[in-house]
Amino acid sequence: MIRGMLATRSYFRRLGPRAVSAMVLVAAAAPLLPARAEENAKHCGPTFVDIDPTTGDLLILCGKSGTIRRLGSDDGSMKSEAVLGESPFAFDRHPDGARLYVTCRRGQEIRELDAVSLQTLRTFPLRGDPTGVAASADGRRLYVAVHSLDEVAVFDLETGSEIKRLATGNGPEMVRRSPQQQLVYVTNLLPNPVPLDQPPANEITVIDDISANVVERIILENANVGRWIAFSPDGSLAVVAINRPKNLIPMVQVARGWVMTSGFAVMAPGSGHAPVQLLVDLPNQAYADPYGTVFTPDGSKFYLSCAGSDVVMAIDVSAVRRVMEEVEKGRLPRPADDLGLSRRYVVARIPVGANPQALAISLDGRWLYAANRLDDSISVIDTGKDTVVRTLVMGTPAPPDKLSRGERLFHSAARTFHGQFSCTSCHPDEGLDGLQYDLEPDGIGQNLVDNRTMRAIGDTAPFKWRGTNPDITTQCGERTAKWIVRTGWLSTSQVVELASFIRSIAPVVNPFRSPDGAFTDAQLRGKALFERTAANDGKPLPERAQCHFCHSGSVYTDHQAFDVGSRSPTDESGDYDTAHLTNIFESAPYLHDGRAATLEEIWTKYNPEDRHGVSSDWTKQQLNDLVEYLKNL
Amino acid sequence: MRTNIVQLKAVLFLTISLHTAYAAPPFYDHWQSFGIADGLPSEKVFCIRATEDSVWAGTDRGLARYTAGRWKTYTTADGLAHRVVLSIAEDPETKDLWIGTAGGLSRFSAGRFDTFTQLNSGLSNDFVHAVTVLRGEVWVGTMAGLSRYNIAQHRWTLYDETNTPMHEIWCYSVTSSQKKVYVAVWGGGLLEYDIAQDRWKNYRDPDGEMEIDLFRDDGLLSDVVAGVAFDSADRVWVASYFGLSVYDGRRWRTFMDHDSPLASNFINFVTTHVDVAWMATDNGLSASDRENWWTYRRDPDTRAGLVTWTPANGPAERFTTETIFPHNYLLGVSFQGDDIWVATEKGVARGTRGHTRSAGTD
Repeated sequence: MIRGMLATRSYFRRLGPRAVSAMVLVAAAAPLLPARAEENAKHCGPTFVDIDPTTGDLLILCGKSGTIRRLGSDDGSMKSEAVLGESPFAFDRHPDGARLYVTCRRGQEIRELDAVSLQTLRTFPLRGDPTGVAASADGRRLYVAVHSLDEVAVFDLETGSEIKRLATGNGPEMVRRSPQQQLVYVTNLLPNPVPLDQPPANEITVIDDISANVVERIILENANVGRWIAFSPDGSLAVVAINRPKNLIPMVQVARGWVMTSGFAVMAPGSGHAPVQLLVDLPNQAYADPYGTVFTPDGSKFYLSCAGSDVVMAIDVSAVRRVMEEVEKGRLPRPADDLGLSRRYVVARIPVGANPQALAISLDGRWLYAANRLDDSISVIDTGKDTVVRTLVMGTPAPPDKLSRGERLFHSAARTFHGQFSCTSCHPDEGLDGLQYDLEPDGIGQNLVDNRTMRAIGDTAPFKWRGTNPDITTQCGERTAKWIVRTGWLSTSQVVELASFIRSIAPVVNPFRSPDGAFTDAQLRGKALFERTAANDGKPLPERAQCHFCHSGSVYTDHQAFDVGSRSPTDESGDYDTAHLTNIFESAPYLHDGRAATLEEIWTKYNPEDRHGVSSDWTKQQLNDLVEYLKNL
Repeated sequence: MRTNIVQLKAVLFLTISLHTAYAAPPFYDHWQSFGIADGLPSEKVFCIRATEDSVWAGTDRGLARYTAGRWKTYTTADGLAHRVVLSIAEDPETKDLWIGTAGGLSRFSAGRFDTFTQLNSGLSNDFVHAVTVLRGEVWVGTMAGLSRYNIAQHRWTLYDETNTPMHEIWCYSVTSSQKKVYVAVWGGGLLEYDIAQDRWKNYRDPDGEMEIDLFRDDGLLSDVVAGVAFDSADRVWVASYFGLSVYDGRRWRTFMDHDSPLASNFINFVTTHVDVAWMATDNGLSASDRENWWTYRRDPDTRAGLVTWTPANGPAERFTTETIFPHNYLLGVSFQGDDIWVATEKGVARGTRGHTRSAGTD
């Protein structure tokens, strides 16, 4: 075997660095595991739903099959379907009504569609995981959230060219133009950077639609995972679906029912008043993963999907306004921590299908459509009675296989104490939430750990920062029940299904990686530094001081634990699992407790004794080159 | 006295009108000063930048913003990288502000500060003398070379003595035209970067003498370059501590205080506005289109303005204004509409013009 490895190495040497890098990258960029791709092909996975204002038809983006479907709103019959790029996520309609703009996350593009035929008219490539999209009121520009790069790209719709990038919050998600205002609102999935001992602060980025520049940044304290934003028809209210994680307290508090709460932020744009955060939870029952939201045409109610609880909430707007007034007058000092308050404004909790995310409401306001992403169905809700009157099945879905069942488990809060959270609450979009947690098994207040992504971790065992779980099944087994969800957990077969799904989660497409796999000069220099065996002065480096010795193999880990000098006073040990480096660009902050805000800080601030590689002899240029190389992995 | 001044202004107005063929620099005849009493956090103002709706002053105690008649101060508590603000640039496309400080580079975007330092980013050095933004790229002049940041791609490129003809690495000023980036390197002359060609060119003092100029107009006056600006004719104006040099792409012209109306050889800052260069010196303010000159100074005894108009083909004329900037040590100049703003050792001042048209406006 060793001989074979040596032979392989010499083969790579003959090819030269650029060719080798191209091969590695092509392999790394393989979009989905075959089993996952095969399973996705069987399903629609509705991620977005809207109503055609002309015909009243349902227009549905199918995230899994990569298509857009036009369904009759009465019987769900499919009238037409068109193939899009991979993972269509959201669309907006041009003000002229003739065109739709669809973002395709893994497809790395925006499709301009004919709104009637759904055929593609133009395609705008956009690297960086495009998510939300909105056309400007005058129809001349398009705003597209570039999730991986924390930006909004502004396109000129006449030329199809990108005009500029605007800095958003962390992980921009949805983009919506407000009615009666010349503003465009961008929600953000992840918190803005804050010190480790501070609660998260989630941003809503506001763009002036005239100048196409950011004019305001609304901060939601203690909030995270901003999803959809909706506006009342008169524009006087805006609602954003949010999580409220309490990551600064030990997870033991899960058993007291309030580590992860869920709700929405409501604000009166232009009023000058701060947003008010309100929960949809009850004292003994939580409703996890708020996602989609939409107002009725008369503005009397809005609906909020709780994807992790398979529920859609009906919320009375007048009651919310009364609560907002009380908050403004100081009569409700901590509404966001009041688990009983939702009784005043939640008028119905409507069970729907699996993992409801997107919502849309009929033109006359009579029907609400909830897209159940994980059972390929649309729940039709009578808004007068707030009950499901029928379910539109998307074609003839295949029965869920192991991966699909595992995916449902991952996205369901049914097996956590009071239904507080699902796996995706802390791992939104199967990635990470950018927060640090105090998991209890090693003592309260000890061993704070940074959240880790669930993407592309199949080959990165062992798990946990300490590397104490040998495989995903162990990681997601009984210890999860005991230390995290704190209630009856999954059966053995369900754990296997969940682990299978987690192993199938693909990495996002890396925007720092060249489409043709070629390295830039800086990346090549960084690669050389990563693989160097001697210091700048020519002295040989011990193996453990060479980056590629520990960060080795296809996912850049040797699966061992080492002490790289990052132990803090509250850590009981300094030995931590060698982190894999696949798509390391998206997993800030860094080190086991998230103390390094950027890749640079790993070495400029937290490697004073050269224990995390020998970095003290690096020039600034070398550090920059290394970071360029790492971001590309 | 007031009558005399008004009469002088009337004469001056007529004089300027006769010289309009030279696109003469405008005459700022009224000045309003701002200090701590007016809301500035400090009167040591290192830089000033006027934008469409605000004026930003970089002080040794934070960043001050003047809007709607009031000053507001941003400090490190708000997220500013360091209290000492040395340079300010506005992204013409996004209107974000990029702020060079003595402790890193900050981006101010709709109320949020993002900070880039040599420890948390690719920035080469935390002492940021200069910053400019061109087509989505931020050019940052630091105490240890030039850093270039591609905003959309989050990518840094460093320039220093290893990959440019940068003889010293103290980059005091950076400015950019659509095609070129100019870097004033203290002790290293002027660097010109052709963006399309990815090519550097270095202009240095031909005689190599710091304090004397052996042959007039033979090139850059001194390698101790503190500022650089360009005008719409692609003329490059280079400020040094030993005089002013102007390069039109073919030949150099040099100006010193003994052979031109330049207020002082010690020039802290240069900028251009409507093809007129404005030089902030240690002894007043000069403006020139290379032929005609204005020079403004504060009379330390009377606190009045001493203004000299030197046309290309006529005798110099001297007159007095009732108001002027608060100190003759100037560090920055910027323009907002018809107004000029200057940063001085003792606060900020705004100059306005047109008061000669009506004796009652003063």
